[in-house]
Amino acid sequence: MKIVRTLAWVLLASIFGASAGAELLALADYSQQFRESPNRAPSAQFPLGTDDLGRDRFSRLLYGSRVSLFLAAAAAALATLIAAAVGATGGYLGGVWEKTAMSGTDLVLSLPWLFLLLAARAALPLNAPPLASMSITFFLLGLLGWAAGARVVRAATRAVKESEYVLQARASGCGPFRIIVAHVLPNLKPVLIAQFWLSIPTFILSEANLGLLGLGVSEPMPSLGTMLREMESVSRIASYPWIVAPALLLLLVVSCFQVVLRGEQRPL
Amino acid sequence: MKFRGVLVNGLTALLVTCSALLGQGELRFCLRSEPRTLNPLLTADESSEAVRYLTAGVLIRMNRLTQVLEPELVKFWKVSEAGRTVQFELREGLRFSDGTPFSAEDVAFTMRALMDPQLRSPVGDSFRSAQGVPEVTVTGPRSLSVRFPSAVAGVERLFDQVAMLSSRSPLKEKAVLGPFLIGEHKPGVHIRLDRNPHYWKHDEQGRRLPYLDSIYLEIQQNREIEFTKFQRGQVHLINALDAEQFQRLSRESPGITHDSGPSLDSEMIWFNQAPSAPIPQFRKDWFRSRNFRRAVSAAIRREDLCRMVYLGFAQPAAAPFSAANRLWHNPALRPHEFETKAALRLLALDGFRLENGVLKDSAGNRVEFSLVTNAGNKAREKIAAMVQADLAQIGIRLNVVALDFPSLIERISRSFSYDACLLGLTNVDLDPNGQMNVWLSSAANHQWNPGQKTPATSWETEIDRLMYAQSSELNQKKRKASFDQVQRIIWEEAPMIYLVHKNALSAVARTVINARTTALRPQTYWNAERLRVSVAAQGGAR
Amino acid sequence: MTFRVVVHHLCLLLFTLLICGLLGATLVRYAPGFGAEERDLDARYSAESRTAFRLEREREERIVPFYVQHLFGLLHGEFGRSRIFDQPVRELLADRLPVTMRAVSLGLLTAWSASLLLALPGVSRRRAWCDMAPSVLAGTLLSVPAALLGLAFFLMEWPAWAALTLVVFPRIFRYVRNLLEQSAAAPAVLQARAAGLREGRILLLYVILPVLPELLAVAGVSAGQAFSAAIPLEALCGVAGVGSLAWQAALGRDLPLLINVTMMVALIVLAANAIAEIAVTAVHRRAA
Repeated sequence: MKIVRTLAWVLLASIFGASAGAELLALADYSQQFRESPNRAPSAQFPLGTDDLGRDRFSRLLYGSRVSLFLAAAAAALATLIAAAVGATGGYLGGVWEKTAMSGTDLVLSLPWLFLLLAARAALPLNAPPLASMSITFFLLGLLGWAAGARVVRAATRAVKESEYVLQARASGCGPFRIIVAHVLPNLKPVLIAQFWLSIPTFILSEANLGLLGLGVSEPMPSLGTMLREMESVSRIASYPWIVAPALLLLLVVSCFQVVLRGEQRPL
Repeated sequence: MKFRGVLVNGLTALLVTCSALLGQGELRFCLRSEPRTLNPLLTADESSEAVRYLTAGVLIRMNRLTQVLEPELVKFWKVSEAGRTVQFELREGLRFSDGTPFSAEDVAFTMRALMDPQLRSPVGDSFRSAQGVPEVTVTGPRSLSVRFPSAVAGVERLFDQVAMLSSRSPLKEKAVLGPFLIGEHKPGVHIRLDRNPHYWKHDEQGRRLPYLDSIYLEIQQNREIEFTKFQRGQVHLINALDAEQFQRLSRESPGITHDSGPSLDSEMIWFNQAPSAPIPQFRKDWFRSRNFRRAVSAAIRREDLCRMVYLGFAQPAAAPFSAANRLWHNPALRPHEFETKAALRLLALDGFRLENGVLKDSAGNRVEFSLVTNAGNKAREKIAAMVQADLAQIGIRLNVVALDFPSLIERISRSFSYDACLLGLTNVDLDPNGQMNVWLSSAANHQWNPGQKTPATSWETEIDRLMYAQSSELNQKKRKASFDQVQRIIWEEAPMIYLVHKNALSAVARTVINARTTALRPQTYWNAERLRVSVAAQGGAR
Repeated sequence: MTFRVVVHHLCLLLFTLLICGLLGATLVRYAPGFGAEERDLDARYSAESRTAFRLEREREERIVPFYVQHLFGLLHGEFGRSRIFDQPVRELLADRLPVTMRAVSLGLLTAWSASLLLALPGVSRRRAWCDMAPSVLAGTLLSVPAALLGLAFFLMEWPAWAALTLVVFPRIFRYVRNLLEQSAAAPAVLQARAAGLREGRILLLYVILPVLPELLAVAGVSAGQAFSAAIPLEALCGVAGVGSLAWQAALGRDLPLLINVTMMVALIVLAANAIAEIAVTAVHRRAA
């Protein structure tokens, strides 16, 4: 199992490293259009073929995964952090705090936040760099994607709250904040890890869906989400099977995260 | 046993042949959205128009194949008083789908309903003018006249869109004069149209039309699913195929796809020239420069757009009307030539200069602007990316911004907070009078600078003059000359940079008999009353 | 006591629902494009008609009076009229809700069954492949766009709810697996095994029961998740349910329809969470 974990670490490091150093590895600029070679099959010149506009898919995957993986991981961390804070505080303090926290969570789960995203995009100048608009989209996804996790965290906190070690900590004069950070949160790792693990692909695919409303990344910048959107046509997959490469990359990243985080969880 | 087998086979073959000749069957195809309304007077969207086309009876119908107006519910019509009055003589013995007789009173009732200012009908608005609304006078049980407050050229074409209602039927607008009537409507799922038992048309053999028993309209937004259903034989036709599906289908089943040549639709770019636009003054100055607009147009490779975005099933565009509009297309105009050097020369005339691959204006501002378009339209997103790459060749940085449609509409028609816009224009009306609201400088849809109190430029003054002249001119040649001149001014001044006219691509299953596709809407079922579906192959449409 | 809990939850639910409706309406009202319509670009409409359309929309712009009026309408069974469909909202919801509810219920039921069935062997047998195989499956499903799943199911002529199962399954499975794994690592489970208790009994009493409150919380949350997942799935695959209705309403800024859909989704989320809460309280009381 240790070998698998090491392998997962190596793969994750390679993927993140490759996307971070996309400039060095890419064979062509991600926006360069080879107009005589649209929809080419993989070759030495284009390792993953070209898209409809003759752009090198491999280069676009490298740059796209850089944008998506880093931003999605950051947004997932933000969502997990908020879920932990709201769920654990509400669950531990109980009473009005708990009710307020859970009502807020329900509101976040129920409201059509899509319109907030639209308003945020409208507030940005049209000439804003694509990366800025995409960062804001991911930030908002992180800011709004915590609610489901918070409810489960709160349920788990209530169980932990009754445990003997928390009782001991309280008896020894520990304050609520210290108890939450030092005793409660470490025991909520299974829930928090699930939240983080789920959020990464969910946010990447959400960005792809939001692209339908103009909230995704703008041309010519690639993202993993926009590349995944190409898979929405089954017949296209049959004609150009190499377009599934972004999904395979995402699967690899998700699986590696799972192995790595599982390892982190074990010693508990 | 052998004899019995032969007999059974023979009878089956006879049955199939008879049923094909008698033409029973159900035609199935998809609507891409739920019709916004089933009131035929309020129809504005494509799905509602499809239902109206198949159910409504109209006085005059434009033949989609020949583009000639033909009498439908009328025996004849006559335009008199220098184009102010249209007299109609109705056919005898016509009945609505519920059996109620059709008379001149019904036409008057329909026109009154259409002209009701509270109705807000797009067709009604087309009839209305600043001078007032038309007056309807019933002169006999089957004769009437419609008098317009001023002469309007080609006004009779508008009657192609006026669905006749019954003034007496308890079913109100559900009583129809068209070949089909609405049998069942399950919102979001389907509409079933049944044969109108009282439809007045007969074929050459004297058999009452339509041949079909019913039409099943499935509401399906997903084009991929629509395509798959066609491949499986679950639907019989696709009205507008995208280029990739067309190519694939042509390869797999040659003969069922139809390329009717350039459609009436066009893709174009315009720059925001509204004086109130909240954009920097130097950008407004660029956009108001004819040389700048022409330079941008000259830097775009239209051939590449046709080849890569539409896989060759499109034509480079020069002007608003494509060759599909036989009467009003101006063949003398050619699309602006792609020529980078010419573009740079035009820019130099206005003081722009290229410095290390970056274009700067005379004040040293970097030439950078945004191009908004609607998100989710793959073809348009590709066009934007290609234009972006083309303009980079002359040092212009273009920021492509895809917005959801309401946000886009708000920007281009209310806040004017945008630089340039890429959008498509869908022409429904072949006549230039249908575009008065686009070309008149005072109009709301004069997109680059709408609602002007007085024309901002001399060429817009000239366009206004020519548009008014052609709208009241009854001599067709003179009208054509005036509108040709309008198209030439648009070509020269490039307030709208026309990019491509995509082809009208459609697919019709082999089992559909009598289908003849055209570039005009509705491309595949314009002669629905004469279509038949071979019963033998109902299970497999292809 | 239980009656008081139920009443308390009902009051809280109603209050949150009202706030949710107001906030939802406010979000729609202040979103860009509110009041802009496709017919603004239709060259056939006259200036008078355009002004009339604008005035009509302006009535919706003052959000508090609009909302109060809407609530009064709701009390009388009036849900308002959809702008884009030109139909009563009540009829639209009555047509579409059964389609989505059926898909969501079946999808949730199947996803929960699959999650428990696939997570339990992993935690009880402690064999790598027992855990790895469903985890890889969940990872794969998370990495595939929902529209592709929906389309693939359509091609295979499988029901839409099955596609929803695959969208919701990984979200439930991950929480369930992690919670059960933690629970299975407790010393009590080891003691039970040492005492020779049957595996089924151990799983039920020592693995599932201790984390039942958390599982119930996941169950409550998963109802909302299933509903949210149904929106893109239905919209992209053209299924005539509430999901595609919500999507079209959002694109058309159809306030009367959106406000009802928002309140309906909120009601489902709140009700599911409230039921989960009541169940958790009952479990805690029983444990105490």
